[in-house]
Amino acid sequence: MLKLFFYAIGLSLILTACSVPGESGFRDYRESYDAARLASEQVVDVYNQYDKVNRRLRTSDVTFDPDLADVFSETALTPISTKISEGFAAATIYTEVLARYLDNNTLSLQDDDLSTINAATTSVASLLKSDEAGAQINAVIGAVRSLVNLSLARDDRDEFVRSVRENSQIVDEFLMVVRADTVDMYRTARTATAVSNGSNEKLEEFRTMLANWVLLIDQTRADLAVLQAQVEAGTGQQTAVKLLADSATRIDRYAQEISAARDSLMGVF
Amino acid sequence: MSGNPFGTEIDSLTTDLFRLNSEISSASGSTKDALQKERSAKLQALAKLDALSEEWRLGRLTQAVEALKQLAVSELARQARIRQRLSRLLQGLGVDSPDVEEESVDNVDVGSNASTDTGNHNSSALHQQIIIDARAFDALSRVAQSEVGHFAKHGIDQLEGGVAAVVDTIINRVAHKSFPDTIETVVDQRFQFSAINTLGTWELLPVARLNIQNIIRDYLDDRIAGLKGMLGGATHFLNPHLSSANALAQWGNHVVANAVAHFGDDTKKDVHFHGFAPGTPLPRAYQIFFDSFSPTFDGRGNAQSTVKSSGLRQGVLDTLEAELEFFDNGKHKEADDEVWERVGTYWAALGLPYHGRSKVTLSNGKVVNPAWSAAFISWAIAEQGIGSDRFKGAQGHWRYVADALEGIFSKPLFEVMDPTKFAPQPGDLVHYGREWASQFDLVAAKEHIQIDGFYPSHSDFVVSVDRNAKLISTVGGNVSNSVSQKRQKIDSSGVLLPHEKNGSKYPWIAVMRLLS
Repeated sequence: MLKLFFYAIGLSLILTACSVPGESGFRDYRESYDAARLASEQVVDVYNQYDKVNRRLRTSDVTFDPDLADVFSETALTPISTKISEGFAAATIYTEVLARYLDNNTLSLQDDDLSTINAATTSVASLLKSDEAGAQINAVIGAVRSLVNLSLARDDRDEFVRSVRENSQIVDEFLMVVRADTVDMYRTARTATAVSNGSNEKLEEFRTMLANWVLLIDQTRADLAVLQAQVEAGTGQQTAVKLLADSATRIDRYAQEISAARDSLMGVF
Repeated sequence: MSGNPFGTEIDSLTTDLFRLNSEISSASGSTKDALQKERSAKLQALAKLDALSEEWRLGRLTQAVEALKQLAVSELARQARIRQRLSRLLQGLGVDSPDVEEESVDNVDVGSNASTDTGNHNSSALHQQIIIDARAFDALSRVAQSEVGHFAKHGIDQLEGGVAAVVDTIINRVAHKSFPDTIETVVDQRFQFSAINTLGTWELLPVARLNIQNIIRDYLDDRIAGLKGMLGGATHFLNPHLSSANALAQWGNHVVANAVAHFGDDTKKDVHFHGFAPGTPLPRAYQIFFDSFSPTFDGRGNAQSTVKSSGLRQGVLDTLEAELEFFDNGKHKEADDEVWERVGTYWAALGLPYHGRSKVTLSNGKVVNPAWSAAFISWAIAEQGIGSDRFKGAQGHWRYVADALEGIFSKPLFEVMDPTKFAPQPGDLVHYGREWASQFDLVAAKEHIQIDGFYPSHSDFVVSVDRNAKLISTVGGNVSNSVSQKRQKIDSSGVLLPHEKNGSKYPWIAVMRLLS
């Protein structure tokens, strides 16, 4: 019985020690990721203008094609712009899932209730001092069973971690596709400039904006790899935290440059 | 490289266009005509290639984006399941177990207490995400069939309504902090749904018939599109003819007396009354995922991010929608044949004789069209039957803002809200300064109203809020010389971000909250 009791206490201590990894550095990363997404929206805002110029070539003065309705709306996004925006929205959800996990919010009950469990175990200890042997045994067995079950929940968490690790490739592939699509985004802008006899200086500015965006995407992909490593390694990865904090600084810089370019380029057409 | 098979040809045509642009600018006569003809041909070819290129790019992007969406959804659902499992384990420890068992939600004559709190299972969150995947849909269909599948004998309306009401009850429970937070666990909760009591789990219920599945699918599709919940957030239902006296006394009679809906046939003692057990708070705000995400609903099931409203607010929105359609969303300009007289209707609301082709001469001799954006606001409100005892129309937007600030009405139509703190809702006005007042915020505007009064400004009605996309849509008059829709950015809490023009950012002065 005493052995069971100490097993229960020991298990609860293990659970406390193995709580979900969560470092303040990850919150910085999450904020930077939000900034990165905002920068992406700004790029899309500008790209959208160029895209519409080219799509307008497919319209006619005498007919109306609902598939080209975006051309006639000042605020509508073109299909390509919409698709890129949707992708980043989904990527952000994934990132938030990941960040919640790392911040220990996914299992938020655990923090609060581990203390309750510990308190319950203390109650078991006080029961052991009494003479009610039957109650003692049942209480200890119950506590141990629950704590073992809780350790199974940890197994679930580990399964989640593995799943995230494996599925992160999907995010990376999206970022790769968007990165590759910047070739066509620039092509679209160049064509629109020729079609509208537009500004070559603005086109050059857009190219710089795209370049910053590509660097941002590359940085985000690198951060994703670091984040995966952090998830796999669990706690105590100060090096990874440091890397993330550094990358957040870089992301902020790219985001600022993109934001400035966006301000300059909006309303070109 | 992008790998775009049309890229090289597009690049070549674009280079040709740059060359032609240059040559045309220095050419004249027949040479210029020939060059322009060549340019037109190139543009036509480019249009076709651009369409092909777009299709190719969309194919590649769609594949990556759809995979990403699936991932996001599955990881969200996984997270919810882990949380739920942990909740149950903790409940097993006695951390969170209910003191009493609740009687079945419908008609089971067991148990004695009808506590409305079945255990605090749901963790707090801004809003609950309710994932309806294939398994959850199966659970919903089976339990709905077990409860009301026989309602067809009372008519198809009773069947459809009854099924949708069971589905809504379960959704409301998942959203409610006092119930488990997945469809399956709500359905399987002890002593809640009569058919489950004997079987222990929905998985042992018969698979639902196709017609039941179709009713549920149609209803969920409508909810995803923003349809208001049919029960106003209610979490309980019962058949009083089959309930125990104890249950009726504790909560059943209350539900019947205050029913928000009922389906079946009371005369044949085969009926479900839906409502709230005494003291039951509303569910939390929630979002449904069923192939795609719904807007966020409040606890009563009202969509917060689409144009779903009632009464005055809905009337304003309906008016705006009709006007937007009349102007073909900004395509018809104020002086166009189709709409110029319509603009006159707006002015008439102020008793002024202008219209869409009116010209006024300023003191400096400049001839302009009189700005009619405030007349549009005044007209749209007058259309709702609102009198001058609640809102005085004005030619300048600042005037009705000043009226609201000065509190001249005993029952005002609008309340001036700080735009940096208050999230605008459909039907509200968003107000900002123009020209020399473009940097005005609420404090500056208040000061100016006290000192001077007039400042150049503009307002638009909010017609929809999409917190997921962090955007609101607005409709205003004299926007691009038409009635047009615009989008403005909001933050994650729904508060307006500075509006932008020509690359610069400007503050908002106020959100004018529409009062009922």
